[in-house]
Amino acid sequence: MGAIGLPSGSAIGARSAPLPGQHQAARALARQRLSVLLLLFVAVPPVLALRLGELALFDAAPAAATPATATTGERADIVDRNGVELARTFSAYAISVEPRRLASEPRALARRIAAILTDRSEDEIYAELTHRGSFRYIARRVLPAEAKRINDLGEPAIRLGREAERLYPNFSLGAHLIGYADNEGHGAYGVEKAFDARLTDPARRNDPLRLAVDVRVQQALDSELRAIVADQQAEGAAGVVLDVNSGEVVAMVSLPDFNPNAPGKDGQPAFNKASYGRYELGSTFKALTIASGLESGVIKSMQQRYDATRPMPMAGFVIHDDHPQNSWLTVPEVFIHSSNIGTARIALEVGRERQRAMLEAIGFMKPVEIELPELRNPQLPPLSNWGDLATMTISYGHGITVTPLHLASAYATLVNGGIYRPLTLLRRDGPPPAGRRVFSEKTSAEMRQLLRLTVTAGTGRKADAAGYRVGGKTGTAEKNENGRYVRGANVSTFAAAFPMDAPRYVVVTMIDNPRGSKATYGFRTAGMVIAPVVGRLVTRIGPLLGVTPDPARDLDTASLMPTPAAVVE
Amino acid sequence: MTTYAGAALMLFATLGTAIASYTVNLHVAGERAAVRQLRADLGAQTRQVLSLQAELRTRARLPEMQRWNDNVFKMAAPSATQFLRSPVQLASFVAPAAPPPVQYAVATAPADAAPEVASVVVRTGYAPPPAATTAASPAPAQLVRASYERGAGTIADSVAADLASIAAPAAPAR
Repeated sequence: MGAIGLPSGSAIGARSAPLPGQHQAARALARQRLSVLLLLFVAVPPVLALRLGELALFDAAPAAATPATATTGERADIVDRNGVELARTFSAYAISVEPRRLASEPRALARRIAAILTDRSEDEIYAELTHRGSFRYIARRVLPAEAKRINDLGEPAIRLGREAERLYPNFSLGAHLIGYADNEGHGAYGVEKAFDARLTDPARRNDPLRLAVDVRVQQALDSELRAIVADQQAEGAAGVVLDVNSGEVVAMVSLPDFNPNAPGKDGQPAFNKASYGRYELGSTFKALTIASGLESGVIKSMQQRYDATRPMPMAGFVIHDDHPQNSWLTVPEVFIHSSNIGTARIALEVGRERQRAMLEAIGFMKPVEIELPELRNPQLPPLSNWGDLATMTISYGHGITVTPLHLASAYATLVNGGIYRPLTLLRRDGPPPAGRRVFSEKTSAEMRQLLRLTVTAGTGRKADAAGYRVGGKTGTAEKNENGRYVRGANVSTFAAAFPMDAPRYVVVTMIDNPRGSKATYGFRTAGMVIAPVVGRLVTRIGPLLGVTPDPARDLDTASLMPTPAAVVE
Repeated sequence: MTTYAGAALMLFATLGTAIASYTVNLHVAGERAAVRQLRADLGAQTRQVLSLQAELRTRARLPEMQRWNDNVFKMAAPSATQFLRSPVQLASFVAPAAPPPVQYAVATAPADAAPEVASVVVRTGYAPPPAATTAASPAPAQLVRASYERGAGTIADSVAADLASIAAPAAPAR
């Protein structure tokens, strides 16, 4: 700015005294600058006006940002097939402390907080208050009333915050299926883990995830299994209810379970027996063997007889029958008396290759096709060790371990007309997927008759819920833990479907190591322990699933048994 | 002078505009604050509804219902015989136990008999009348005759008479 003229009076100024030409130039420059400034003054107001207009016209909504009014949480809700909530996010109070800023005496404060929060001990709270960190949680998921009382203590270091918490209103019901999300809001187990990306997708946060589960059926299965586990002092139980035509999982229970609202509190790692537990499921496999016999043409007539007169020695191993008939048995007799010998003979005729092909086709060579993350491969003998003996033991469910979900899927394929469809946890509203044919329609129809016959005249009579035309197969096997048999412990299974004249649902229930009780006269076999559970369960869930009982209707099984059978339990 | 008047006019006009604008501005700000408050209220209310819903659902959870049913209500699933499959089956439930006796339509009542009117008072057992008086009083007619004819006295009259006949034997009991 020094260039703009200073009065030229001083001696120093003489050196820089403006010459006439310089004066002219300085004035011109000043004028130029002034005009630029003027232009700026003229130009700025329109800019401001434009911005004001834009604010007034387009951003008229008050900036009361969505955080204050937002009501949805971090994750989308999960609902059952009828829209009943299974998991929701709600904002709960979390009480935290900044130990360094603590004003009052920690011991006294801990005592007063412990008096309000009854589920935390005084010592735990004291440890948090005196922690060396800068931020500690004292409690999360605190009730509003308790939060208010803690606020009234007036301690400045204690902070009350609202945090999005996951709530499972039904507590342990369906815990293994729904799973839980961890404190950071990531799915850690079950559906919460499987659909984590979908549940946290901001665009679909207000759109609940609709499962195929019917919570009423889930509750019925849960309470029936819980009752039998308590009665039998068993180690646990698993159960699955499947829609045979769509492959939807309508209920899935695994006991013991946990409370997903406080996962990991009981110290037991969560273990889904239905989808992750592998068991030898025993005689329930006989249905698959006979179906492959029918399918391959090895069984030409139901009246074809098999020698079950005496135990069958094979490669240093003797195959016995649990209910020995000591005679030549027709195919229906083999099935309803659950003859290991007869089934083994059928399997020998079917042969290893066709047995393997059948197991492959119904998905027993890989984990079940379903969205759950907790899945497991079945255990099969290696090909080098899969001789005649393995073929025979596998035919009646020994030497092969699968999950109960595998078995349910196989039974659905068996009774729905022979079509394999992948299972799903989500509700399918459209037509079911095309699937892949494994058994012919005729084989499926014959298997339905055999399964029904087992319940009317065989080992599964206690499952016969009046009017629901239940069909199924019992299975009792020695418990196999990590490849070793546990002496004196068994696994009792019942795989059922109803109504057998037009099957709609498959029910697979399994009880792990029942001990026998007064109600079962000390028996631990599937026919005595788990079959009655299925009978009661079907009576409960049939009406809920829209299956009307009709005592006047039944599947014709007379053609299978020309002579009335006398079955000894 | 005129220049001053012009300047003053401009001044007042500017002042007026400024005041008017400021008023509008205040008004708009007030409205916006109200909207903001309303939204905050809505948010709070929605949160409260959600938390109450959560509480309700949690209290009415199915395992709890099951516990109540096991301990208190003891309701069981319907059995197969409790389902109706046809209207005929429904009708069979209301069928009389014994076949009604054959009835003939015969005019046995005398033509000039007063129309009988059923008792309109229904006794609820507050005070059972003494046996003797009950025996004496005629049994209430089982037959109701509805008629629009006003022949032998109006219906109201006969109802009143009937009421009197019922009240009279009951009177001593009180």
